[in-house]
Amino acid sequence: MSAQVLATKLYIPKLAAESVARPRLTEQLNQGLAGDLTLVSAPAGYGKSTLVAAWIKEAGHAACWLSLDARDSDPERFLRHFVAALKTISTDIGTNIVDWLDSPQLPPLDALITDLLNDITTIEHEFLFVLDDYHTIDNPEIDEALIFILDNQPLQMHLVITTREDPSFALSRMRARGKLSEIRISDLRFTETETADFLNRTMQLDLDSEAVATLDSRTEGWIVGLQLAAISMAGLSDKDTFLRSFTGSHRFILDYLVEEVLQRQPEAVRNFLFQTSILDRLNGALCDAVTEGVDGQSMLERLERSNMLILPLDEQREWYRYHHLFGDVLKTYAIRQFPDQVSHWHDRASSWFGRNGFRADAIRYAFAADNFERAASLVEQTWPEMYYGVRPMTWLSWARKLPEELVRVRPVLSAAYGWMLLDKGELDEADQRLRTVEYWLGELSEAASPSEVFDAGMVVDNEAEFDSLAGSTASARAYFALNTGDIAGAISYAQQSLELLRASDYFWVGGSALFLGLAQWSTGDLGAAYISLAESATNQRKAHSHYFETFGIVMMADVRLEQGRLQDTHQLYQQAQQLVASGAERGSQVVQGPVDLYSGLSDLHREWNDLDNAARYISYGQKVVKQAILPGSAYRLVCIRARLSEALGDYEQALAFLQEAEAVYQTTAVPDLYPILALKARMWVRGGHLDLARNWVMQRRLSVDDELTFLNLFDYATYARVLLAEYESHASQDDGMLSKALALLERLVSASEESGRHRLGVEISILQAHAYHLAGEQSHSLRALAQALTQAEAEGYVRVFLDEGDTMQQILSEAMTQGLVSDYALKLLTLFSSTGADAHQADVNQLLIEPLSQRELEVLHLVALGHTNQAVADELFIALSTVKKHTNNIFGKLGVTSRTQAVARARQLGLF
Amino acid sequence: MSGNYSREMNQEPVSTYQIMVEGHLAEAWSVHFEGLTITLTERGETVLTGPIVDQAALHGLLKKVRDLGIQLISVERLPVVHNDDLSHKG
Repeated sequence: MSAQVLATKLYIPKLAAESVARPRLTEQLNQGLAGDLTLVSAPAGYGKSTLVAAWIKEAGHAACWLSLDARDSDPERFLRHFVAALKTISTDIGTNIVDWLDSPQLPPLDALITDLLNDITTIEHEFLFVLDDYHTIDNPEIDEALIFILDNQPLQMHLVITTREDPSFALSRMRARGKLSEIRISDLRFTETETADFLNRTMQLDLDSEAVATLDSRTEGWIVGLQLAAISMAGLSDKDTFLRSFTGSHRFILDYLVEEVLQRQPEAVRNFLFQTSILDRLNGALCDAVTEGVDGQSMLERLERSNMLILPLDEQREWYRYHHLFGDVLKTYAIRQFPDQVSHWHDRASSWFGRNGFRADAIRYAFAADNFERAASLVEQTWPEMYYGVRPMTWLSWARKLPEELVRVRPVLSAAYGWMLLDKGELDEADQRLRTVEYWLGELSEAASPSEVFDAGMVVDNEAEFDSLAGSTASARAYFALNTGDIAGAISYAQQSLELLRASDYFWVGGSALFLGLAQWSTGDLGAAYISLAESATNQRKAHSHYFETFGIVMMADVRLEQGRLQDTHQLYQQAQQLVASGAERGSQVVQGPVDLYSGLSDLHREWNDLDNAARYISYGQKVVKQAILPGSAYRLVCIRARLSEALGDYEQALAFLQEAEAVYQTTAVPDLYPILALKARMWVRGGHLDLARNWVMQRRLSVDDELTFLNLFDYATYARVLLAEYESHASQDDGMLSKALALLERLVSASEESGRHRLGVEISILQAHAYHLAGEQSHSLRALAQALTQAEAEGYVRVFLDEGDTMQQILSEAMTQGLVSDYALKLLTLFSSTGADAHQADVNQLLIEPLSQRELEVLHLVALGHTNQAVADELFIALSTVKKHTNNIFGKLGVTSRTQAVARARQLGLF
Repeated sequence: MSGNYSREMNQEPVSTYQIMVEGHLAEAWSVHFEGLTITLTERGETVLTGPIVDQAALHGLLKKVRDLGIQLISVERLPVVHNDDLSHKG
């Protein structure tokens, strides 16, 4: 499973007892500690890892080690091992992060890493972090993460990277600033003295200086070459002949020497080397399985004793690996020599990994063996753990490699495939997959496509999931129906699924209850929807699926929000936040969880007129929205952001956000109660673009007599708003318009009451008070206002009143003079008078969508003093690249494009 | 979709490359280097020659050269040939 941490990757390589001391290099390494990064960059076989390991041991540095391989290009796997490595220094580190790596939604790397860096500052001593074989990483995201680490590296930590190619960091700049210490090929080549020391002391060959010089020049100080030469010569009486033919040969040193070494081995050893060369890590039992032998462990120890380029990966000498170069050559020779057998070796390795619980390795080797049957079986068995173990992309990449005829005969595998495709929004193919499942379940008389002939019988390797398959497939159908807008279908499939499933199928029951709840919500049955969603959350908790539990709770909160129960909503959001944070300290930058949680929190705080927090939650949401796995999150977030701009009185900005929202709009399972076009019409009214609002009414063909439904109430409330605005505009003081609005509002009041959309009900009552006010019917206006206040007071609504502006202020003042006694109304009035243009000036930094950090304020201050970037860098003791990053962030946050504009805008905002 | 991997190969003309490295490579490496032809020069170099479908494939090969610690001398693209002339590799 990808969730595993391989301890062998964290092991600091052990050195041979008599390894060559290289004081000139360790001295250079020690001096490099003053900088930010030590880079050991040279081709394979130059002793990079050995040097660093020797340095750590010799100097007694505290250090953690991570040996990277190509699979660490997956950020999740990289980070998991990165944290595990840090934990070898201090066990308290990164605990919060590891929980989140288990969720299907990986938070942004820099947020996670910021949290990690904060953890690191609690370590009380200095230490080295060694990233070994960094060249295996092929992912710019990880490069960026490391640049971020280097820019913000806590004083305790010093990063050491060994690699075969220079990483794409700004090395020349670091070099120029003296922040980079480098050990390169010319440093690493053995000098003649070191060669002599190695051959005669470490390898105990007793060669004369001429022989040493010959070897040194032929290998050019390439350490792995020298080591192979030494192994070849060990026990050789006629070393001269060896030396002569070695130096006389044009052959690639590695070829020449590996052949020499192999020739000198007994056949049993040679075969062992070939067969096990396919393994990237070896232990005795695994070797026995691959070679079908019994002496794997003793063979490994024997190879280690004879310096056969094999390295132990733990203290117990359980796991080993071949030196990469040696292993690569062996493997190439093996493929050449035993072309028919290699796949058997892979197959046996796969089988051993499978038996011993290393499922991802088992799958990898099954594919390498072209054993698709086994691969299909293993991939099937990862279901449905993949939802909280394997990343969906990894799973899909496996499934896509399987031949179609193998997938088709496996109902469980097909079902898993179908779910994955549903999550990705590939509905047509998902439908095909589900039809295959239904065929096998006997629910369809013929296969998905008539041309498909199912000669072979059904194959099932995951009985547990097969037992729930009828129920879980009905659940998938409910999900499918929701995605296609078939609400009735969704309800019927979800109910069918809940009847078929056992109570203990928590994960599936939770899923079906979620779909049922969302469908009920769409029909306007808020009470039933709430109960179903609560059922979903409870079951997901029992299934230990924290992500979906959180999602269920957030949806429950959304129902409560629409019901106007802001306090309950808040409580649910807090519950969800606690789940998300799972113990993370407050103020931690690790912000993740469903985006909808942050959208909802922002909306709620905006309503309470806590605009600082509303803005903060938007910025949290923005940080995680790119990783959102559920469609529609981005859309909702931008809509909520538009509402915040509205609260700040910036209607043009609000419209710009709504424009943005339109671009990312997609239909989803969550009902859209505040349609985007109605939101735009609302902003047009606010911003005085009545003509545009009027166009919207015409295009939507809205009429005051239309039927009001649960889903269209906001459209008609907005229509009423347009009518009132039209009436107020001098162009058309038309009493007919006002009476139309009044009639519509009357119906809206009862419709919102009946549908349970009490949140919208408050707004409708307010509009009604407004309309009666315009009509000069003060007592009616007062009654509507009182109705709104009664509904709003206990829940703490504020913005819904304030957003109505002057008219509302007037109505409220009049109500007070008419004898309305209410502390709440008085409080609202006070807020009106304090919401002038300058009201937020003092706290303006908090009101930026993303407040400037302390550091950014410092940088901005120096920029305002006319400092160049370099001067800022020198002043603050930070890298030039960091200054540029800060200024870019500042530009982004202030919405400007130049230094001059930034300073002007900051002055205007009163930042200094 | 079909589980079988198939790809339109006729979009771009395939280039033939010559990669020259230090030292004589054993014939066994031909498979490792995606079937490129191995030719040895008298001066002790090896020339790997063959069609390389695109830049990504080229970089993949260079990575293999790097990972064996082989010293790279030169990479050269030969004049364009048309796809029809090449046997299809899967």
